[in-house]
Amino acid sequence: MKNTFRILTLIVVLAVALAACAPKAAPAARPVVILASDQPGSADPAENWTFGGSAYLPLVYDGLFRYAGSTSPTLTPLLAAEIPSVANGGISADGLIYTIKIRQDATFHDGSPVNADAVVYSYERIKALQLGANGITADWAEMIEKVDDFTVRFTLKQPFADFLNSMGSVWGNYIVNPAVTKANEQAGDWGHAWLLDHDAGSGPYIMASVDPEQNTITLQRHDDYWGATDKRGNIESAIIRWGSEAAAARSMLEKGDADAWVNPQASDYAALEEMAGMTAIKYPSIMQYYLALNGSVEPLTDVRVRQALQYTFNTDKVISDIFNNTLTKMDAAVGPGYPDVYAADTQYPYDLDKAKVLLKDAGYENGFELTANRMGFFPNDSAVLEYWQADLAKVGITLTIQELDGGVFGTAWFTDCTAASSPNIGQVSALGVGGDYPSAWEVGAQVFPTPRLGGAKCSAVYIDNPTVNELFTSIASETTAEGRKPLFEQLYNTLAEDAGAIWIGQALDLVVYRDNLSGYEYYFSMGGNYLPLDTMNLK
Amino acid sequence: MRTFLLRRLFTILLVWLGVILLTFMITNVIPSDPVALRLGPKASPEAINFWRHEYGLDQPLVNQFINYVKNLLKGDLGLSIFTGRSIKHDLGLYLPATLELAIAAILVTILGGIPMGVFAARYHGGWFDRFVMRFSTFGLAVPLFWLGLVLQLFFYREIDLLPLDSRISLYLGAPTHVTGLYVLDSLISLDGLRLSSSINHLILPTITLSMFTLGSVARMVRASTLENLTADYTRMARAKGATESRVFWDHVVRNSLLPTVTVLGNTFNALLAGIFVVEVVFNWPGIGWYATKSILAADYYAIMGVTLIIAMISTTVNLLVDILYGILDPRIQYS
Repeated sequence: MKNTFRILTLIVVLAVALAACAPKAAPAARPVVILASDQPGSADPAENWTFGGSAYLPLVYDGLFRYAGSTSPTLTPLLAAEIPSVANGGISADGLIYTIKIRQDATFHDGSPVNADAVVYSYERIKALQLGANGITADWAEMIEKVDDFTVRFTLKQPFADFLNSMGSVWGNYIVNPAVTKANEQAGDWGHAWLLDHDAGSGPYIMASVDPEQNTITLQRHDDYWGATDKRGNIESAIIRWGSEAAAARSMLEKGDADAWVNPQASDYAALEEMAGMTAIKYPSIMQYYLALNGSVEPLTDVRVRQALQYTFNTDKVISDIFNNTLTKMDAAVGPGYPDVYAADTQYPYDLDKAKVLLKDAGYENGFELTANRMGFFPNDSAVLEYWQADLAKVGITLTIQELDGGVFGTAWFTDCTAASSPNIGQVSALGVGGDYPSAWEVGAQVFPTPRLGGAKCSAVYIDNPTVNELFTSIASETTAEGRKPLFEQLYNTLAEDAGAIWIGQALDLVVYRDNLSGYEYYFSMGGNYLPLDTMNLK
Repeated sequence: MRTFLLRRLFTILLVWLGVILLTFMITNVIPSDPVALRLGPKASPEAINFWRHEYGLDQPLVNQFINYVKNLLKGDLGLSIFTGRSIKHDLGLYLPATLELAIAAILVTILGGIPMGVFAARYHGGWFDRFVMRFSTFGLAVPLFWLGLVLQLFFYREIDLLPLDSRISLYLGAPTHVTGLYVLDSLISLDGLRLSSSINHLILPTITLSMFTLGSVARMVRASTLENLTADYTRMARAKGATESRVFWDHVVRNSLLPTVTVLGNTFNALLAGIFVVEVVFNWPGIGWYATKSILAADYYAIMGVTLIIAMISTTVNLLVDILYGILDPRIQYS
């Protein structure tokens, strides 16, 4: 016993001595540390569909196209040589065949060329794995084939006007190195297990390590990046870290242990904005917040009741008082940062008298009881519902706010499009919805009733309006901008009259970084988690 | 002794089975589909059905349970729907972090709590006794998440003495893997830099986690020591002419530590409960942290895996405590 004690004492003394003698941890070339929001998602580009993945996947992998621009996103070719169109023969007249030319100078990290074989393999891999990113683009294609070494052809199952746009999505559109992926296949998994902590990309950075223990991903600059330009910055390596508590993240940024913090809470953002040595920026985000009204349950089946509820919601005060003006007001069912958004003719300003009249018409003069789900899908959802609760009380409606497991709601939302799931969805749900790419059609289809285009997408509002269904279908197959505009206008007006969801506002992406970083540009399509490290500099 | 052990082992097996059954029922009662959540809003019904089949979630609940138990007997805890890896692999990844923290907290509890209790009793009514009583009351009452945040605020933000969170500096990364315990691995590989960093990162979470148990053990030892100070055998020792110092250290303290062994078993359970909060506050990637993420992702099998492991650790520690108690006190008769 005494010997054991002596040995333990010796170990402790040795440990303390070693620790005391050790120099402070100071790496030779310090990596940039970015505190990302959300969760990292999957590092396999065929699987990831979360915004967390946009922090690193676009830096490691390239797609055929990418959206550029902070406010008016424009699809630009990346690995593709040009944007295909009907005019240049890239898109067939019936909108079913897309022929895409690939640039001939692009190479993967191992130096092998990015060619048609790689593109075909990457999309076939996504289709075969049937993971989360499949429904975004690959699932629309009936056939993907190589035309020549640098040309591929996609034949669609049905005309889909957003097909090209979907290829600019940060999810499910990355080209992987077939040789590397095939070499690391396990039991026919298309290299999935291996790609969870390795990369097979062609982007400006290499994924040096994935550390689930530290919840970090470390990127190392790829010096031979095929797409390097004069704008290339000097950042050698970066550590992207997820899951920091707000107080911890703020402390790290203030003390210089982190260089950038994505999407802090509004109060932290406001404080950091005033601090010397910090740059704080905000841009309209790809996310928007709604209160979805379940039109399949009483009394919300009555459109007058839904319209009355719209009038009871004080959007201006919610945006200023709760969100500290970090939301942009919406005048249509989709946020103003998206293309193809036009103000709806019907708007619902805060007006309790109008609400009372509508409720009286609907036979609810004495109000009713309403239940709203709070699932933590967007910040401050509790405060928003409590604010609304007070206004609803003024028209005799008693709102009960309940915590609902996001998984329960998500299951009903993602899988079961029948009214049978409506009890799980409840009457009102506080939703945060972001587009997979900058498309008003795509965002609208997540919230409002749509035919099942592009997978098992269900509506969160459960209002069966055939006009809305037809409009979504027509927009999906209408390829010209001139043809889409009147359809979108009619859609927004119909959705506004249906009053299926209260539009709280379009979120802002908030990014704060220390002044030792420069060259930051915001990319609307990728969300705030993406920092274009390739063109940024570290002082 | 043998009968006692066999009976205890049988009881433990029943507890494990109960834990498996209970967690299985609870996680399946929630109308949440982990496959749908993993695949996201764009997944087709075919894809969801395919993966439900792959995970065996399309089978009747009874079959799912039987299959789960069968696989458990083979050491297979199933696949994590959230991470896509086997849960055995995940637990192997996260368990060492929890063990390192728990061992450090137990050491602090033993090395701090016992002397505090003993000296508080020795100088009963004095300033040190009053300090220990107030300290232990604070330790028992303070919420761990609050304490953790305050310590972070003071030691990291205000005086810049200790790191904020994580197991090791982000810049350094983990030491060469031997045991998964960073302090021990750094020591084995004689890596002073990582040793220093991992010890520094261990301090605040250890203090936070051990605050409750420290207070609990200090109080228990103090009460036990005070009781023994007036016991008959103590009076007898004094009457026989033993010095006060000899009476105190050789008779009173030695006998007072016996009940502490029992307390340490419960203390370990309290630590296991505390890790869920402490690991989240300190971004400490242990099984508490993993369990929290799994619960949020409705990852059934991961939740069951963590619960089972915690139940196994807890029951095993309690069994060891019972056995140890018998070894330390031969008067104990097992029946």
